[in-house]
Amino acid sequence: MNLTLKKAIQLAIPSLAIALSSSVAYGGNCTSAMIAKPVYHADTATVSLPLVEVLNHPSGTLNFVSAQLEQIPGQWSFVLKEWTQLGDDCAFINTPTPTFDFNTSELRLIGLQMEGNDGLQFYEANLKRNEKGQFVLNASGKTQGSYSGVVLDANRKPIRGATVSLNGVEAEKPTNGDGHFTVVGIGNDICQIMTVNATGFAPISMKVDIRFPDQKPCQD
Amino acid sequence: MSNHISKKLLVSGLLTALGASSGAFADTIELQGTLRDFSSSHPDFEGKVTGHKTGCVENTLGADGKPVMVENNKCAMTLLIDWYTDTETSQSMPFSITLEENKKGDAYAYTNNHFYPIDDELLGNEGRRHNFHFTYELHAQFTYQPGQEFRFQGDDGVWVFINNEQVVDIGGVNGAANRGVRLDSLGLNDGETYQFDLFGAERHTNNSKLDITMTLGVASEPDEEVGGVVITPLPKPELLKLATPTDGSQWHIPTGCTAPMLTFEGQAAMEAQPGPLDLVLVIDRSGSTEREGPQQGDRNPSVLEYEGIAANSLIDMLQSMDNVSRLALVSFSRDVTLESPLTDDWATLRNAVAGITIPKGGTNIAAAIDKALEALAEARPVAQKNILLITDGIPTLPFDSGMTQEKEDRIATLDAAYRAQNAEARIYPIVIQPIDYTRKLTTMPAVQAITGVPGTIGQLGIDNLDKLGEALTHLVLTDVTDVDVTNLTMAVTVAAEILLDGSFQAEVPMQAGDNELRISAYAGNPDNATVQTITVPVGSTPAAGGNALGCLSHDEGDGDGDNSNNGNNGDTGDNGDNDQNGEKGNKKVTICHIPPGNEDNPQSISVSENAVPAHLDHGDSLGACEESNQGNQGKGNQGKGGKGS
Repeated sequence: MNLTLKKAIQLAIPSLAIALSSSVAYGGNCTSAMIAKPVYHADTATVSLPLVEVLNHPSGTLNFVSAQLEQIPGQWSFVLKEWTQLGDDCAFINTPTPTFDFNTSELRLIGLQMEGNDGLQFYEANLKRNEKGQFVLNASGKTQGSYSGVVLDANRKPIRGATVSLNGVEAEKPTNGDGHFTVVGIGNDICQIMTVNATGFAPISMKVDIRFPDQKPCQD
Repeated sequence: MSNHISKKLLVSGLLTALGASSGAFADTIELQGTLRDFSSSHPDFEGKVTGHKTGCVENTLGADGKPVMVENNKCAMTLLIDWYTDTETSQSMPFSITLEENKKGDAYAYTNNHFYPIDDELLGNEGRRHNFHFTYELHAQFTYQPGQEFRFQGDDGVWVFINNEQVVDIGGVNGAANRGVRLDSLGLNDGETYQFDLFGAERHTNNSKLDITMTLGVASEPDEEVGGVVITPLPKPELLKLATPTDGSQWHIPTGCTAPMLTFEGQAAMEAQPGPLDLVLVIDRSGSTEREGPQQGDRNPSVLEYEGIAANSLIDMLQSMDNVSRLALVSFSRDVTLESPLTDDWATLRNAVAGITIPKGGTNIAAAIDKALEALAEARPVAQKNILLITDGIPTLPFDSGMTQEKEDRIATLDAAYRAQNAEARIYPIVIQPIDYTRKLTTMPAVQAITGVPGTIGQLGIDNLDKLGEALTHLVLTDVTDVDVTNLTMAVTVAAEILLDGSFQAEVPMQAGDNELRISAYAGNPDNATVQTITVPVGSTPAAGGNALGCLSHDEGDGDGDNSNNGNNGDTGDNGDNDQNGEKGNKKVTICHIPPGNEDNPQSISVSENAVPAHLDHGDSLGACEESNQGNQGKGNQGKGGKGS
């Protein structure tokens, strides 16, 4: 069943099983931002955007930002609470990454995470900035969840060809030359069993909290 | 130089030069300077948000040691001369920040996401939550050592100069920006002291942030908590049971070849004393195993029948290898049956295999694993406990929703794998391509990984089922994926065939005289190999069962070194011209040679008649092998054999 974003938020707010931690917000460096997802925090009525690619900025110099949007009470509009410019050289592996286009004033949120009674849900959402500077929800739709990360050796060199799975769902491709992987269709469980196996290395399995990047262990 | 010494030197240098807190091993570094507070009425403060800009100050400092503004800049700066000078437009105070050593001891950092150091001080907050609109400058000297890196993050202006050269340029009114500089790129001299000047500003009533990190020039330990999954390489294997072969029965000349070949044997394992094997073979008899596999004779056996054939191959191998292995048999579909407990009664096991005949029902892999663990509860304490799991499906049970690929079934299967992990049992899946195989949802790779088995899982296409027995008997239970034997004297490398228990066998071309053999064993990564070298004399040792050199002398070599058993070696072309004289006149006899432990790979070879009895003793037969029975069929799915599908 496809819930609209609005309906999902309505369901999520009053009965959060586990409140999202405000620490989900990232910012300040590319490394943490590049594999983090945009998240709607029902408890604080904010959306954290760890990484947004800025398109067509008038100065041509603004490429990547992290930001926080704060919901206007009673509305499906948001205001920019704060933002941080990231390095120009952010190499992101959210595919595709959220974008804000100065030409169209549209903020496209890919893989927006929301937490409700039945775990995580993932949405695509389109917000359009109006003349007041508010970001107004324009369209939304449910989408497949995904989880990305990097596999490294003990010297923190990326490992190519590692196989990664979450709850038994394998990444479509082994890790690339940068060690990156993305598992698509990961389901809505917050805590998932992640396995990594690479030739010549001892395999590992761990339970990760998929709301977070960097393979944060589950707290359960 | 050790990390500790490097750190000590650098810290000492920093402390000396930066005027830091006391002690050569201080946990903190204090940077000192001046802070100036401005009113929002100043034309350079609380103006428009320009975004991040660069090039607003000159690349070098002015004669007064202050930044020099570029005219008509894009940073909305008009009176930079006010910013870092005491004038009537500002009030100033001494200012310092403290950098603290991080946990790893390889960097000092100051991080403040709410950088409001003069709230309610100097000109006051001007009615705002914080006292925005200020500048700060920090000056110091430092001792350069290779590997150092400084990183800065600030809002509305951070300019850093090292040795009077601008290395960080964060200009304009904007959100915090992050910039770093690797000092190695600046052409500094190791151990020399240089000037460090930082100028910053907070110009707008938005956020205020300041981060400074000074990384020491020491190698850091990997941080497993942040930024990626860190996995560790498998250790090097042990090479066991290697000996310099002197028994003539180990020599032969394959049909059509001129070079003598040595059947070189040994064992490779991760442990110096690998335990015996207690195995459970789990056979899928779900409805889908009724599918027909490739033709064999005049019919197409079903998947289940091929599983039975493979099971018998495994039993044959275990029986031939030694008498210390034991095997249990489990079959499963919706329900699970322990067909045989752990035993070395091979006849009983063959009967149990024959009794699994009716394919039907779903695929309850979780229950099958649990049943296998029940069987392994009887395992010997010293034994290696392994579950060899053949399936042609994905988990459809224990949650009977009537749908396939249910998440709950997959998770139940993974939970069963964790129970195996807790029982110190490893699971080696072999997956026959499922009917509805559209995605990588078999769950078996995760099952294998959870139980600590490295490498990819075994996979076979429905058309390759005749390889199932080979895949099963060549599972790498020891983690040793490869053993290469190189005759250094001839520059020929042969890939050995490795069996379940890590025992291996390689047919190595030899020549007269001393042959230096290098044996290299590794677990997936050739760069992490255990290497051992031995010398094998040919012709100098009288052989009980024959003399290969005599055979060589008897045949006139063609010089190309070509040999069907050579595996991945290149031609060397030198052995055929060998002019050594050995025993001549030995009558040669063609036999069908059954390599020990590799009965499915018979080879026609020509041996001295003196060697025939020894060969017949270990199961060889007179005459050439039937053509269809010859030749290697490639390895299974772990390691070099690749996928069969």
